[in-house]
Amino acid sequence: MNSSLKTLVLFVSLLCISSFSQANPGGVGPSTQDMQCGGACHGDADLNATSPFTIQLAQTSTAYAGLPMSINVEVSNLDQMQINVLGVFLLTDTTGFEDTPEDDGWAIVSNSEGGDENYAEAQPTSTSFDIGWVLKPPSEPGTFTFFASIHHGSVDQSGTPYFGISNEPLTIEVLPVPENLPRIDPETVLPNQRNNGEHTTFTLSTLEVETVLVEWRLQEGETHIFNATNIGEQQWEVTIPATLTPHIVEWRVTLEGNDIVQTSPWLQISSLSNNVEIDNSMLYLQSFALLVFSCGFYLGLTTLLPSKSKNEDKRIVPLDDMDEHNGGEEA
Amino acid sequence: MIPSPPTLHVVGTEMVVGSFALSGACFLLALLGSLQIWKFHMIQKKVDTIAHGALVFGLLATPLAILSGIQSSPGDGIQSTILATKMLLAMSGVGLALAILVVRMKQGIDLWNQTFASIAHAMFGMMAVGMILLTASLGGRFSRGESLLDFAHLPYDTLFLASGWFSAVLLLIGLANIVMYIRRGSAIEH
Repeated sequence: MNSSLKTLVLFVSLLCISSFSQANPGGVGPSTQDMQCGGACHGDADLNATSPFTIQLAQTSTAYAGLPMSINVEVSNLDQMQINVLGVFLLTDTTGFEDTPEDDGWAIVSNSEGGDENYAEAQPTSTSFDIGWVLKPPSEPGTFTFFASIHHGSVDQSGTPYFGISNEPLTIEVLPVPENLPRIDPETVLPNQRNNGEHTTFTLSTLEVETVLVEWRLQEGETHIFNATNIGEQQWEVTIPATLTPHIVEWRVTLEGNDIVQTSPWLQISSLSNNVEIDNSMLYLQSFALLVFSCGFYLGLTTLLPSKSKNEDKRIVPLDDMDEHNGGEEA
Repeated sequence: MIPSPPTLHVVGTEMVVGSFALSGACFLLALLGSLQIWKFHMIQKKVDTIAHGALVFGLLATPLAILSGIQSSPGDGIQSTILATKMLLAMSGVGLALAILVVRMKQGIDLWNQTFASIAHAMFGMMAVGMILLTASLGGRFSRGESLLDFAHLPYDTLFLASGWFSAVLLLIGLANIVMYIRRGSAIEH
């Protein structure tokens, strides 16, 4: 086997080893995932070790049919193991198939990590980590169960994937909406992402509402309050200020009407600097096209270049004679 | 222990950057020698060998760097303008480097005896190296938020992603040039 072939075999082997890794240490990014990601995050679920962390679910606002409500997932005892990335799933059952909130008729509005999916990743820095989801329940009342599960690795044993799931499911009763309840129109699309440096202005449609008070804050920051501008019958203009750096802004509205005060959960708008939707197949096609084009460009150019030798000008010592100058060391 | 994709990516990029940087320096020396700006006939042949040898090694390590980079990037596939630009630059650099090696194999060391050919060869060699080094620099910008090229205020948020038909046209032009080069080569041999 010649040396070039040996080198090629070495690199191919290294590439194969990297794809056989049991996990994705860098994470898979926020996405909609069934439990265990259908095996896409941590290879084979049977190879998962049990996570030493504790997972607890809590309902943090009343659930009315079609109106935003929030669920909090707390992962604690993080001092039991040093990790880089923690992946958290919000699930409606544990079958590993069609078990996302969407599969049960719920819509995810946002989560406190800036996404609108049921799977989010974070890099916890303290012994416990909280992540909140804002969801819209189905339009029909009923009783639903929620679970939370986690995926992570270990700094000490980077090859071992870990899995954990909440001990007790969270049971949520979705109530019918009282007729006189001041509320956000269930049809309103609530923004959850924007470009960095841009204000977010949107129209909030409401029902049974007389005044709308808007609160916004940076996560863990000071809360700012203003009254939304009435621009029509049950139509309110809300403007959330821009952030200059990628950041998540949280906002909520307090709705008053019929002598009832109703406060929405904290909703999130994330602004990211350079994350965009990129069609990867087009990107790969363009990459390959550029490879062939740049290769062909230079090859084509050489066919056009004059091939007059400088030796004819006797400007330099002919390369063929170099060995003689070098004492024939190449021989 | 099996190395993780980020670790392999670091190893891969270090091999690629080191090899290409050495190759670029040697292309520059070869050009200076060829144009007699810096007269060192004694090592002209060695410089040529190192330039192309390092290029070969860098090219062998490039798939490792690219694939491990895709695997270790956050999210599904590539969802960042910086990472997408890295991909486009790296592939352009690889294409150019492949052409450099093909031309060198075809023309031999006599290439440096031809005025225009030697200038073009060294310039395109250094351009391929520049693309790969710029790719590596963008990686620093992505992972650490800074790079040596920050002074140039590059448009990190801008991505030149063309439509499918434009890519197809590029592909066809490239293939036509390659075919033209091959046919010309076989015509000369006959």
